[in-house]
Amino acid sequence: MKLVFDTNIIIESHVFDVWSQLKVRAGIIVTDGVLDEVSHFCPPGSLEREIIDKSSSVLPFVKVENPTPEDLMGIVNLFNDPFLNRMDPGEREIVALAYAGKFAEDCKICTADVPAIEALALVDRKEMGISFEEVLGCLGLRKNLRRSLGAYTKTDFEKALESGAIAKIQETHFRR
Amino acid sequence: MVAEIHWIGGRIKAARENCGLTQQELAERIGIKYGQIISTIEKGEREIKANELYRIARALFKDISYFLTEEETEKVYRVIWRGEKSDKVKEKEAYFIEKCEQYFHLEQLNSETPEIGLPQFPFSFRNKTEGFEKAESIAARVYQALNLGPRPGIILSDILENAYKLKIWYIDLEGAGSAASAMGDFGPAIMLNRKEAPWRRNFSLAHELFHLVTWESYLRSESNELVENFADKFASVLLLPAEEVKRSFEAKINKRSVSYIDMVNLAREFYVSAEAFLWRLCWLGYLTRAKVTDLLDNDLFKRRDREAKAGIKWEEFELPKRFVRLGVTSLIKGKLSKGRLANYLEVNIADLDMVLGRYDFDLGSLVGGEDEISVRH
Repeated sequence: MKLVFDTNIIIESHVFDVWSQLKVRAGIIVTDGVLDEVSHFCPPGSLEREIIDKSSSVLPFVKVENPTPEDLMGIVNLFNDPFLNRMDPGEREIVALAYAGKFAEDCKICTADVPAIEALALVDRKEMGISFEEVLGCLGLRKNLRRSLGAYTKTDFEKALESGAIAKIQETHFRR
Repeated sequence: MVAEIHWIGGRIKAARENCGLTQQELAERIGIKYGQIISTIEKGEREIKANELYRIARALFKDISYFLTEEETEKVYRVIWRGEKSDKVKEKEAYFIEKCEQYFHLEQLNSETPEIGLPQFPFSFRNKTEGFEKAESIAARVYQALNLGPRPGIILSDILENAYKLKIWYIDLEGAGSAASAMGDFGPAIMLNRKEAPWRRNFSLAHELFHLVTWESYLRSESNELVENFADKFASVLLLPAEEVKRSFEAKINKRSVSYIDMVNLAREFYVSAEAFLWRLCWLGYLTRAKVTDLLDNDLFKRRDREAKAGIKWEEFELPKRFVRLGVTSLIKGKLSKGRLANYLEVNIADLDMVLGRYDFDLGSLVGGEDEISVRH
């Protein structure tokens, strides 16, 4: 299973203590923008931050793929600024690569941010999206994600995809 | 450089110069050792990577779309400074404008654009005597319109921020000046020096407000020292309403004199500096100019002023509370990604919970989704 992970997903994987299993059981792909943001997390119930050691715990287990400026230009020219500005650099990179057709066909993109999920629908890559809940399910892991802020569950993820699909029909987020 | 985006280099150069940075300074900010590399990027002789472009965009306070869209999208804004004095001015302006655009974006996402605009007053900046009188009368009208009550300094920023949607930024200006104001698509905005004491910032806020309420006239006039004096007069009258100052001051008069400590405490009560308070007393006829100058130089008076300030602790919010609230609301509604909110708040995504805690938001307890209630329309 090849999975493109957003920053949130890597952080939440550490929070839910499933990273050690994910990193060896899934082929994880990230962008530099995502890696830039991943540095530490707070375990549940703790005020102490724990460092995510990128060099030993992340990098050896992930493949880094980056868009070219031309790939980024693709989504910059497609989306209007208010919509583009809803996404962070890592998410834009992932969406740019998806839009440019740079990910392998069997790749799934896992993010929990509504704007990025909507963007997948807007660039006709709905089928590439997968929720964090489904990823954990595929690997036989179960966690209660329902109270997390963001679209971590399958239901919330599909709702965001649907919202993107509607926006595509209504052409609300495209540059004119 | 790929011919398709040949304009990137020129755009980087323009944005760098707009920030007043050298190629070497930009290189250092994005973690490159040699300024020569920036030179080759700007000339289109070296291909730029996406992550380098992000770092450059961040360092120059621009979104990457500015560099990637062929059509020139940059808007030029006029920024009026109070006490502008260093080469940091350009960089602070670029940062200020970027933050205002982010603020505007959050307003758009939450359909919260200004309903009531700031009032505008025609003003002639040429005649000195008329100018001071006019500044005073405008201050009185703004005081009425904003319903500022007996101690305007205490509530001025809240009213401007929440009722008039004025964007007020508290920025470490690093000697670039005391304050500045701007007007753009994003509406009216002011940046204040975060490092200054609140009573000084308050005066700067009122001073800048003068520029905003006379903006249209100001654009047609020359910037000069006289205009700054008019703005000071406006600020003084707005923050220290004559009747309130007279009533409070006269209550402290004992056998035709007032103690130093009472004077500095009154200044604190009105949330202005002792200096601003003394000059107001002078304009109201209680003190002569010479007496004010003497007092400002008097060691005992200065000591009393320091003592009165010593016990006061002030909130040092780095970001406008409304800006943070709009960001969190956008996140809950799924209109903004968590990473983007972290970018806007200038923190790492993993620190978001902790930082929002400082603004009384508990991210861990928030649940996403747009819960709605039907209303009669």
